[in-house]
Amino acid sequence: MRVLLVEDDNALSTLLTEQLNRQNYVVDRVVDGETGWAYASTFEYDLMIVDWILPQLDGLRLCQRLRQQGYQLPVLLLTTKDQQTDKIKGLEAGADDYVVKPFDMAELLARIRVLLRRSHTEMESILHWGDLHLDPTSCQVTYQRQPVSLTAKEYALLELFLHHTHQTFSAAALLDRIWSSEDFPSEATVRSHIRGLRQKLKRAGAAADLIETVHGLGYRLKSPADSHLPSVTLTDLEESDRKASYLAGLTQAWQAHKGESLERWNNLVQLAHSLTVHESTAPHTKETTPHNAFGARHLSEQQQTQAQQIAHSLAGTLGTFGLMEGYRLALQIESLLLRAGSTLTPTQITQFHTLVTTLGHALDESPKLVCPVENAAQATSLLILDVNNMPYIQQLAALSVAKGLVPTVVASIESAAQSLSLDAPFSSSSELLADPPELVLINLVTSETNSVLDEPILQRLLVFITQLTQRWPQLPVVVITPQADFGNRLDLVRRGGAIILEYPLVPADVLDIIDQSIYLNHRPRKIMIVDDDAHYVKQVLQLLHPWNFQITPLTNPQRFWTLFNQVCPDLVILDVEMPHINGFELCQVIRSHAQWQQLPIVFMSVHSDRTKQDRAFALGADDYITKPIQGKSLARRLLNRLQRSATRGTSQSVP
Amino acid sequence: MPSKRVLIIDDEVSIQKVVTISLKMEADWSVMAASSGKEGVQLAESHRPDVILLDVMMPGIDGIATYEALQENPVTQSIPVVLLTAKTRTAEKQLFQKLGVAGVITKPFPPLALASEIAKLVHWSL
Repeated sequence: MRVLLVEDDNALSTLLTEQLNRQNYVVDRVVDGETGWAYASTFEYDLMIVDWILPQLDGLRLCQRLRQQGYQLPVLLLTTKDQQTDKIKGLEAGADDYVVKPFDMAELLARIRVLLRRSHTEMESILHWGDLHLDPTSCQVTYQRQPVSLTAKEYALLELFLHHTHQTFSAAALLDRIWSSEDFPSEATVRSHIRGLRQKLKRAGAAADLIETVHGLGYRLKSPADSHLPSVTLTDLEESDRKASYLAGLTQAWQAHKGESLERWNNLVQLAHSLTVHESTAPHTKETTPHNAFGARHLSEQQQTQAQQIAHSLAGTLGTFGLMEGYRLALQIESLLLRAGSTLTPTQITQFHTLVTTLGHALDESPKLVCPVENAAQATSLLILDVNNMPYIQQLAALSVAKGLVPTVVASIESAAQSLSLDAPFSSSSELLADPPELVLINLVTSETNSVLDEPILQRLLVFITQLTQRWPQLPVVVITPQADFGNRLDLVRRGGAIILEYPLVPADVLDIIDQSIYLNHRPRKIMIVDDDAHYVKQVLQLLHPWNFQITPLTNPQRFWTLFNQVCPDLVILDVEMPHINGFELCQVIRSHAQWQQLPIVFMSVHSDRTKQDRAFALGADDYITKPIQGKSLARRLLNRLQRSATRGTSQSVP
Repeated sequence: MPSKRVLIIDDEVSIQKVVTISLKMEADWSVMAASSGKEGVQLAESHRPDVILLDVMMPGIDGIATYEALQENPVTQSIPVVLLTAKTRTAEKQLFQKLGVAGVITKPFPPLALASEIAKLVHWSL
């Protein structure tokens, strides 16, 4: 798209050009109205952005001249004049839209897209959605160029959906638009026609739910991306318009109400200050909190509840506006206050102070559109069961807080069972169960001197491990035990213990292992696949989709090394035969680097002959898979490789 | 399905605005807002919205007390209520379940998908 920008403010013009270039618009910049007219009358543009006040010929007169000369291109007028009469003047002069400075860039870009789409739609006679075409002049509908025969009502429905590609229509709205008042139809009539239309489109080869039902809202066209249809620029534009408008709304609301959040944050700052001000340096006033001999501080019930509520509300607000770092920090503050209760230890005070300060910086972020499920980062929680209250475990818990983990230490099996909802019946809905921690650590050590637990308690703990792993099979369970010989290890593994650590070992090492275990459990694995057959690569991407791998496909092996170093994958899949550089050579290059000796390399090839497989293994491959392969089986083999290479890393770090 | 009328009860004006923008853009629903439980109950009684979005944590009469007031009022007791809250804990979830609310939506809610979430919770169908 070509855009002519007529703006004499150099700074604004530069900024706008940069933004437009980022959106792939080609921009011509001129600084006065006469040059603008010269450009507009000489070259073809899809849109003009014109400042009102310009040297030589002002924006208003430029618009008038353009319209008088029959130029139909959309014109967006930029101005500082914000009176209603000015807007009317601008629109009457021939401008299509009017934006007052200072403006929100996202909104301006959205308006530009709307103008472009409007003019584009008017010019375009044939409506299309992926492979589906509807020609309003001939009333012909085709899918993949094959004619689709529709009744008048089905045609009218489809035309409506294609005119409003992202809108959801309720049955009532469809009745209003498609049926005349003399028809006396019911909503069942709409359902019946939608069903008929779907069947005909399906017979023509389209997806059965090309017209999808949005539960409780109505019907709409399913996005071509979801239907694996080629992307349609018009739809993309509409979607991005919607998002841009929503973001503009968010930004505006945030700017208007940021003060409320700042005020809440300020209350937390004051509390943090009152916790850190020492009684020896400040007189004891209402603003300071009493402390005990160990440096811990007491909060009144009111202070505690109020601070928790503030943190909770802030989390909700910041998350809603997409300020996800602030959201995460506010949740951490809430959680810290909840754990601490009425007494904050010196470590917790320091942590509270740091979190509040960092939250202040996070409030300067701008609103964003985020998917909360993916971005709702939360602090990693850890449940530690230690029936003996060992100082060793206390030390470990303190250290884990410093590492950003959130430990909860419980001293009884009952408390642990309660936190893990082990008492709830198995049929309970997951909504009613407690959120499980990220990892459970169970201490089977009794004390530094006498390392063996009493048999009855040990047995109860072992039963607990069994119950725990039955309820939460995916939850990593780490057991610290003084008896880690083969027999005991086998028993613990059978009960579901994932990692068995032999006591004594220093807390820092335990935390490294915990860190790695949580990290491995959550981090998406990066896989790089190098195969010159783009079609096959696409298939593999689809096959592996459910496993949430982060896959980097590459069809040109000549670009391998650059991309490989950028991605730093956890596993590489190589095709054997490729133009210019074959898979064996790539494997050799990887293995020639000391740092990549442990990287899992998997060959995937149509060649099943022994010689090629032997060669792959001789060059350092870890697996050789013959095409074709099922998704599940492929995923399992890759996961195995990843797991083992990760375990290798863990075992190296364990003393 | 005709356009729905939603009442949002939240002490934060910023959240009222985001909810309004979201529901308007996504499903063309109309939204009226109240900043306190008391105001909310009055608006619910006079306007009888199709659904009430209720913030749990509010100063003064909190969300739960507001819900109880709505339930005690014969005019408003049949209006479905969806609670709006930041992250919930198990005890809270159990409490909400016992109360009999139509559902709980956790902030942050997904952009431009709030209407679908509400429709799902209150079982609105075609």
